[in-house]
Parts: sequence; C-alpha cells; structure tokens
Amino acid sequence: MESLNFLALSSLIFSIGFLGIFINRKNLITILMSIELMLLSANINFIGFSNYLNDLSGQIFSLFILVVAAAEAAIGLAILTIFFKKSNSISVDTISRLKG
Amino acid sequence: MITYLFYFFSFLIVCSSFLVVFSNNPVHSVLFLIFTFFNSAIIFLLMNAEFLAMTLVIVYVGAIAVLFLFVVMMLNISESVLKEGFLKYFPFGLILIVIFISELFLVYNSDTIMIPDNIKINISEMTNLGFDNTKLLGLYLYTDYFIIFQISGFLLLLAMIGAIVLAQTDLSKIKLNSSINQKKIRKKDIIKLN
Repeated sequence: MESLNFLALSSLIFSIGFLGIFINRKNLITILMSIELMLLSANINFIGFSNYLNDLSGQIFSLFILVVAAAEAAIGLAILTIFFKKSNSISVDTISRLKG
Repeated sequence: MITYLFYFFSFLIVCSSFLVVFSNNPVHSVLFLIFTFFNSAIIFLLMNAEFLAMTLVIVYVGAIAVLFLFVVMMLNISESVLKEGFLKYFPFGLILIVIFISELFLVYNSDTIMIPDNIKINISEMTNLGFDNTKLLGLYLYTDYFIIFQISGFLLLLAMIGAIVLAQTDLSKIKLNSSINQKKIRKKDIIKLN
C-alpha cells in the first residue's frame, strides 16, 4: 500500500475534526467529538507508518494515544456535566463567565 | 484487492465524519461517530494491526461513544440554537484547512524528507519467528516501553479520580454513615440490661 493513501485519509479526517471545532461554537459535545476524530486521525497515521515501514513502534504509540483519548473524554465530559448544571447551556460563549 | 477495500472504507470514514460534524442532532453525531470508529477498526485490520483494531472497538465504541451518548441524553439541549454563527466561522476554518493541507502536500512532495532505515522492531522478521501481533505488542510493551506503559496506567487512574471528584455533588446534602461516630459508640451506650 502506498504511503499517500493513509496520509491523505488521516489528513482529511484531521481537517474535518478541525472544521468541526470551528463551526460548532454552540455545542461543546460536538467539539469533544471533533477532538476524538483528530486523535483517531493521529492513530491512523501511526498505524499506517507502522505498516509502511514494517516497524512495530507505531502501534505501541498508537496504544498510548488511545489511553490519552479515553482519559480526555472522561475528564471533558465530567467538566461538561458540571458546566451544564451551573449555567444551563453548553455554548462556548458562556464559558467566558468561568472564574476561579 | 486490499487497496480497493481501503478506498471503500476510507470513503465511508470520510462521509460519516462529515456527518458527525455537520448533523444538527447530537445523538445522530454520536451514532455516526460509532460508525466512523467501526470503519477505522476495519482500516486497522487492513494495515495488519489486529490487536489495535479490537482495542479501538472495545475502548472507543464500548466506552467513549457510550459515555458520549449518556451525556447527550442526560443534558436537555434545544436543537435550534446549536448552529448559530455557522456562516461566521465556516470560511475562516476553511481557509485554515486549505493552508494546512497544502502545507502537508508541499512536505510530501519535497525531496528532503527521508524514510529512516534503522527499523527498531522489524515486524516481518519477528512474525517469521512465530510471534503474532498481540504477542509482539505485549513483549515490547512490558520490556522496552515499560515506563511509558506505567505512566499511561497512572494517567488513567488520575482521569478516573478526576472524573469522580468533578462529578461529585455537594456532600452536605447527602445522608452518609459517619464512620468516626460509629467507631466512638461503646457497647454500654446502646445496650441496656434491666
């Protein structure tokens, strides 16, 4: 398999996730899902290069990305639920009211 | 044959991730996200990473996507306000993406990028020795990459503690057993013999 194939796929998914962060300003859940898509594209890139170079290290690092994605989703959704309880909306614009 | 399968499933991934980003209902977004993860698991299988394909299905579809679905259904969100400001931010994001992809293609076409020739863990060499994918991953995860493995386990513990602490409501409203007061009670205080 050529290297251009998985590189094009992963860069396309990354761009879609990036666009998702830009256009969903009123919906924090979709922003978190876009971040998951971007992490998935990083995974595809690692595994594609692991297959292309015949080296296992890419798969090992892809496993660590999976761990980080799981941790990030858990913390992000916990913050989201508290934020919804406090302010009754999930818009990004209302986050500017957060103060320590 | 594998190349055509790769094209087919990549097409499905790109379409469904577009629908994740652009659909109005968050529940539909989560369901398309699950579809994307299934298809990328198939892509991983085509790239000879069997263990990671199964892990992707278990971790992403079984845990993260279900967590998203719970949160989406728990929060009562009105759909009409969700897409405000779409036209304001869409062109800006599109410009940045065009710049990003053109940069990537410039890098891909340049001659200065070289493929490294020192392969650390040669897969086909180890496969000929009788190691399959899962066995090989376990072998190197517990030896060469042991410290990173421990740190990632610690990260998961930290995420679990953090999520529990964040999701905890005000403790004064909940009726709980006070274990200190329970320990203070002696037998003569509560049992009376006449």
